[in-house]
Amino acid sequence: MGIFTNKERNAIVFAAALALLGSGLDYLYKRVPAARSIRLVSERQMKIDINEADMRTLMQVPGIGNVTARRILEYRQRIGRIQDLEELRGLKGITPKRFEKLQEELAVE
Amino acid sequence: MKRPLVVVAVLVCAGIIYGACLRVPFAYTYSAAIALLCVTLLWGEKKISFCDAFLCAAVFLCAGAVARDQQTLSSRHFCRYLQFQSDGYYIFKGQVASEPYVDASKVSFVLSVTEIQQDAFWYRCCGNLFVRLRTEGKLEYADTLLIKGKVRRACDSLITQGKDLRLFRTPQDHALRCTEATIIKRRGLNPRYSFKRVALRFRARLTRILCRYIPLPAADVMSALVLGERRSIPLALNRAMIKTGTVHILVVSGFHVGIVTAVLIATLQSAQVPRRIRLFCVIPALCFYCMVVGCASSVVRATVMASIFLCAGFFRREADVYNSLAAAAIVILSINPRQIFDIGFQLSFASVLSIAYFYPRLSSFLRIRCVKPRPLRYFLRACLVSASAWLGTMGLIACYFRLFSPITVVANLFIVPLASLATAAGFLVLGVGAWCPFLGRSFGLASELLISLMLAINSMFIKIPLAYIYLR
Repeated sequence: MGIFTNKERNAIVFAAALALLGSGLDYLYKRVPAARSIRLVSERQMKIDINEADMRTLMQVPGIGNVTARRILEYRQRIGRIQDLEELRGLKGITPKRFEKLQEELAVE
Repeated sequence: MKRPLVVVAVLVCAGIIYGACLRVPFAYTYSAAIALLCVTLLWGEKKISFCDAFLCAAVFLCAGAVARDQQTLSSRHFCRYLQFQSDGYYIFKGQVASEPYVDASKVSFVLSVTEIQQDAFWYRCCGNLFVRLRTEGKLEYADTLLIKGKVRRACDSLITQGKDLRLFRTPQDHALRCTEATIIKRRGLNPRYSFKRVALRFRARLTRILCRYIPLPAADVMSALVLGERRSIPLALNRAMIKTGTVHILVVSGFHVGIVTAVLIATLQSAQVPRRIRLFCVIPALCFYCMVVGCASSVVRATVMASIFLCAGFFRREADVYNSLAAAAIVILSINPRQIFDIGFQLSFASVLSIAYFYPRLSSFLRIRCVKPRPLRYFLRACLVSASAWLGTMGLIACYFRLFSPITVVANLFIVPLASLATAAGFLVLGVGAWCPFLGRSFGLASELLISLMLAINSMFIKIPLAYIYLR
């Protein structure tokens, strides 16, 4: 009979492997700071694509209500595709303060 | 009968739907339930089959009556004192009944109203009111407040972050919100709610540990994975996970409860604690974990099921998955019958029921046991679990999200193992991070990598043509 049961062994192996992986990454980030900037998930992927979003999705964004969502959709239909988020500044009801808030949630892919 | 609780749970669910959706007067349902119960008692020993049928009908009507009663406003409900045609302000006294959600400059929470002022008189009342206001100070769960504000009917576009829907028992107070509100006075913490406050403070502390060692936005995802804190999850990420049918990994459920149980049992086992005492230590700890993660339907279900399984071991009896699932449903619905209409409740029970039903059948049909190579056998089993869950939840997802995701089964095969590893890593960060910063940092970086990989795979699946189809 060994010191550990199978389950205990697996748990210790997992923790050790994770600690090694983390230490390796830490070392890599310290030696090659540029490695930190290589991310599998970009900040942009965490935002809603304004050209893809439908009415319901837009209305879930804090700061966008029924009317603003409709205005954004109408504008998108009119011009075909929004090239830059800055274009939203021209829409009625989007104040500079609200625009700043929207930038945190919206992006143009 | 082999599974009596299943029958009771089905009858209770049907009864709640009947009571909440059909407009049958309460008195009819109530008197019919009493009559049927009397018949059951009188004929109980003579005609057993008739008696069972009457008893089933009585349980059904009883649940219907309870659901109907829940929908009726109490005579002391604060809504009775409101006059919607007037634009006047009301003054409410009550306790913060949900964890306050801070969004930029505003804070949202549910106020459990205890008193309302009208015409310079104070009236004792009850009910919950969703409040959103600007405040300088930091609010806490169970804070006693005096609030002045207008009451409006909430529209669909209302930001509902911080609105814990489980606290609302009637459609009337669910549809109200307090606007233009200000805090007149803060009267400290109500000691009655101390247990939940301790749990929430503990959660806040754990969240801080996660944020210390795991870089953003991975820390937000980890908070959802381990602590059920989904409020910081970006909307885009949430929608992306819905599209691939993997959003369930962001919900604390049976897997998390399983990890906590295993860790607790292993710790107590290594401390040579006797088996019986071990079980009695684990169940309260699971209940505390359930409170910490916010008592969502999925975690309450998992806690009840785990407790039943543990108790079954204690009494040396075999636990039945259907009966324990039914017991969990009865517990949740007895706390709030309106939970049956909650999508989280429906998805949680549908997926577990579906796995319990389809998985053994599919497994024996495809003869998975006969597959010799062990890795292939595990892979096939994982495929079948994923497919079984998908079969059970497909209809609900199509109905609620207007979405059909053929990619779900494949996406889950890759994402669920990664999420499982990330969750286990998250628990390690929490366990070790508090006292060993170096290890905490190592585990944190490894967790970030796992989460990033998981999200990258998810966004890769979304880009596959016909990965998801919006239904009209």
